[in-house]
Amino acid sequence: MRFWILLQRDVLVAWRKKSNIYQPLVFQLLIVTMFPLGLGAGAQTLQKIAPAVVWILALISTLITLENIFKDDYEDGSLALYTLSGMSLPVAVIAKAAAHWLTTGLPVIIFAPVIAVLLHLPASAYGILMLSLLIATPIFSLLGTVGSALIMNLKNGGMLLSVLIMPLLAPVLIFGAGAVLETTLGNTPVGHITLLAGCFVLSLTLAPLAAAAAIKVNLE
Amino acid sequence: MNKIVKFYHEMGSPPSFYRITGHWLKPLLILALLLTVYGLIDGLFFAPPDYQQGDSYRIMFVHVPAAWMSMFIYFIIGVSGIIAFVWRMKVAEAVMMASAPIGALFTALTLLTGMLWGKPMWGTYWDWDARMTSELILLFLYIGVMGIYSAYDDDPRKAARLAALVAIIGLINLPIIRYSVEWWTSIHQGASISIMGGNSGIKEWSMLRPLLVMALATKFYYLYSMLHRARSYLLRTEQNKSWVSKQFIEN
Amino acid sequence: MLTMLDMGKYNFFVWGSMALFALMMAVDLISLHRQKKQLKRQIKARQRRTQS
Repeated sequence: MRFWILLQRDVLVAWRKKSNIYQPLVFQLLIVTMFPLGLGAGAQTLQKIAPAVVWILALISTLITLENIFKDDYEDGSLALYTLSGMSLPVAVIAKAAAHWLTTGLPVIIFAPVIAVLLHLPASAYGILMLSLLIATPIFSLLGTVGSALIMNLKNGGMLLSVLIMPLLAPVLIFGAGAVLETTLGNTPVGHITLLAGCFVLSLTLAPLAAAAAIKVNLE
Repeated sequence: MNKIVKFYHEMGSPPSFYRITGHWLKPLLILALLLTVYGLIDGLFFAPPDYQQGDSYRIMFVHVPAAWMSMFIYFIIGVSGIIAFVWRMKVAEAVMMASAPIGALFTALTLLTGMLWGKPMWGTYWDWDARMTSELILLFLYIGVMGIYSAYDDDPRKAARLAALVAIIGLINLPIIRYSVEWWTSIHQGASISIMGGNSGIKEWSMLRPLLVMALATKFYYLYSMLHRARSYLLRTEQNKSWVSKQFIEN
Repeated sequence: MLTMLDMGKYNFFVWGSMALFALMMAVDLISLHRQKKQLKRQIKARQRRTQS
């Protein structure tokens, strides 16, 4: 029950501050414009890098929003209240991650085809692109809570956050971008997608525990 | 048996850890230096050239021990991270944070000597093969552990607990990275020439001996460097305790 | 002796690696001792302050 209240509250807060939602998308659009400018507008070249670029952009645009998952709650004391209220901390973390996914992951998925069109991604790969992002963006949010919980009371934690989270996300990127790439090459992406799903299950079980432990240390 | 138990308990308390390890430093450093000198002379001059790689394989005598150490030290960091996080042992915190700089150094050394070996063998300084890529990510893990600690350095206990958490996460993550990266390279490039190609061909004792000696030398050097840093760490974090001030009155 | 030092076309790579190894160990050793010295000075200064 508390899970839903927390989720609802977080989504509402994010929704009121609309910039949280459209900023990552504008960021994506800005960066994707630079690729043809830098590489030349040849469709062949762009097509080749399209799977990786769409994927990395999705990853980075969620990364830039991670820093604040717990920051506000930590500063106004509501995070301490969650622990006092007897709510299981890992469950609270999952609620936070779900809210983060709904407000950044979901827009990124919906926006991904636009980026893909701009980079001439072959038509056959769109389904797999959406599927891989659908599995992977929750992983970004879940693992993101770990990094975010570790740096929540630092002033400039952004750089440290990316150092902490990059090794965690490397396998996800390999499987996700790999799935799209294999599809464009005409191979089957089943292996990649299965492993991606494995990553999802693993981060769903372990990330909330790790984030909860980090929150506890930070609140001590 | 009693002696071992007593020793174990003594090593868990900062003052006796400081006192006991103080006697070890010099012998460890001397052993490390002697073995390094012997191993390198043996490897550079007396080991025969490889039939395939010629003299270039001699890079192995620093590259492979450094690579072993980079992984071994991260393992130590992870295990002492678990001990530090679960039982809040100060000595484990000290061992963990003291291991990080030397581990990062060995990782960097592995990467750099690997590049120097790659140029004559593959014709390029850098190749995104499984070993090099996961070694690079290992370097990020080390940087992460040290980074989170220094970010919270106004509160050493909290910093150590968070660093321990990062180390534990890294320890779980490491095999995943390893296998995903291996899988990634096997799909995209086919199995690349293994840098250890010469190593699997090593059956000659005269080539193996310097390698083992160097592996021992780096282990001793690690112990020296780690204990030295751990002792400083304990002095720094326990500044207000009486045992620290006693150390300086005696001197 | 000098012919044994010569690694042919691999001179740069082999000796470069050895030099890197020596350099890194030296950097570690020096930083280690400098840290310790600084720490000792710091603690002693603290003690003097608290005693007086």
